[in-house]
Amino acid sequence: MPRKLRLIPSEGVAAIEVTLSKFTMEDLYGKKTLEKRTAAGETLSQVAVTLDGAHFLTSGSTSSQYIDESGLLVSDVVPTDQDGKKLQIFPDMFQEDVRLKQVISIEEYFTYNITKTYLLESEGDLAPLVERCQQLLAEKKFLAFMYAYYGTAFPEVAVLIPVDKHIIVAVGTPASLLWAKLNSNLPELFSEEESSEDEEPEFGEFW
Amino acid sequence: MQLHIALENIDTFIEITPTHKPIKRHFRTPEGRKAIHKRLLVFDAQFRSEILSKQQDISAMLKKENPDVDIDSAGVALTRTARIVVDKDLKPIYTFKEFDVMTRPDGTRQERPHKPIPPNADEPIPVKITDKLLDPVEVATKFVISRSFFLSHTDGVSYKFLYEIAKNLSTAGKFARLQAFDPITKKPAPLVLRESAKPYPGVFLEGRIRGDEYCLMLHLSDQELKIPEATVAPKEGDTA
Repeated sequence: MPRKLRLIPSEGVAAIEVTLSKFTMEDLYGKKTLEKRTAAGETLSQVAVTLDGAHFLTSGSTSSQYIDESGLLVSDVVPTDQDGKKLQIFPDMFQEDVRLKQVISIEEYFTYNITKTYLLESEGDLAPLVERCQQLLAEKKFLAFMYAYYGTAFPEVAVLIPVDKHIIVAVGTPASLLWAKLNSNLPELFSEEESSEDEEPEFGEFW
Repeated sequence: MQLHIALENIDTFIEITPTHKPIKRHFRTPEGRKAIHKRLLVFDAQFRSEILSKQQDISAMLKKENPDVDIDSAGVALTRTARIVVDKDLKPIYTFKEFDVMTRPDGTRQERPHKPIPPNADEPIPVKITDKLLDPVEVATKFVISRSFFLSHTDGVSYKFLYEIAKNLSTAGKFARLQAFDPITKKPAPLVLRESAKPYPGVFLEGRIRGDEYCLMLHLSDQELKIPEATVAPKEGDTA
C-alpha cells in the first residue's frame, strides 16, 4: 500500500488524502539497456572486481557502513555541517498534515533540477486543488511543499504542476543564481599607459 | 566544460557550469566523533548462495563450519573497483558483441547493434540557438528540467554576445529552444555532453539581466511532463 499524504489546500479547508505514484521516463518511453553477448548468443553480465583482482563482487557482496576515525564500525550517525554542528532533521511528510502555504514563482521553479516526478492521486475530489493550481499557473506561480519521504536533514521541494485535469508533482531542489559580468580591468590598464600611448615602438628596438 | 554555441551566423566557445553541485554530507557519531561512509566486503562471489547451494551436504557443512564466510576477507574496506564482463559462471569474457535493447512500456522489445552516442556540445558544428521562442509556462508544463547549467563568457567579446542574448530573452520574456547536431552526420540530434552520456532532446535557454550582469541558464530535459498512458503502478519508497 502506498503511503498516504494528507494535504490541506488552504486554511479552513478539510485535508485531502492523496498518494504519490512515481513515474519516470522509462514509463513514458521504455527502458534502454546495453546487452553484451558472446558469438554463441549467451547474454553476459558485468561484475565489480577489486583492483587487486582478488574479489568478484556480485549483488549483496558488499555492505555500506559508517566507520569512525579509528576504523571502528558506527551504528548510529547524525548529519552535521562541515564544522560538526548538528543539522535539523525534518520528519517525513506523512507524519503530519501538509499545509499548502508555500507559493513559488516560475522564475524560482526554473532554478530547480527535477529529480522525481509523481502523479498526485486521490479517492477524494482533487478538482478544487487542480483549479487552484491552474489559477496560480495563470499568474506564473506554483504551489509547493517540503518533500521528505523519510526523515532527513536534506529535504527537497515538491512543486504541484497542473497538467490537463491532473496534478503532477515535480520534486527537486533550487539553486542560487550565478550572475556573470565583465571582469576586465582594461580601462585601468589603459589609463596607466595613457601617457605613453602615442609613443610607438621602434622597429629593431626589441630583441 | 565548454559549449560551442551559435546564434545566426556568429558562434563562440563559452563555459558552462552545473547549477547544482553534489552536496557534501558530513556525519558524526552521537558522541561527536567524525564518521565516514565506507563500503565493506561481505563475501566474495565464490561464497554466494547459488554456488554454495550446489555443494553436497551443505547443511552438514553449516553445522561444522562457516562455509559462507571467509574470515580473512569479510569486513575488508573496499576502495576503488573496476567492472568486468563475465559469463554465468563469473568467468571473465573479453570478446563479445554489444546490443542496445529498448523495452517499450507496452512490453515490445527492439534491439540494434550498439551505437555509441557521440558528444556534440564542444564540436566543430555548434549548438544552434534557434528562432523558436517558448513561453516559460509552456516549458514548465510540458518538460521536466532535470539538469541546468550557467553559461559564462570567456572574454569580452563573448561577454557582449551572451549579454545581448540574455537581454533579448529577458525583454521578450521567452525561452529560446536550442538545437544540437550529430557531429558526423550533421543532422539534428539531442544534446550529449560527454561520450555515451544521457541524450537531452529538450534544450532551452533562459536569460535574465541585472544592470551589466547577466544570468543565462541552459535547461536540459529528457522527459516530457505527461502522464504515462499505462496505469501508473504505485511505487513505494524513494529510489532516486
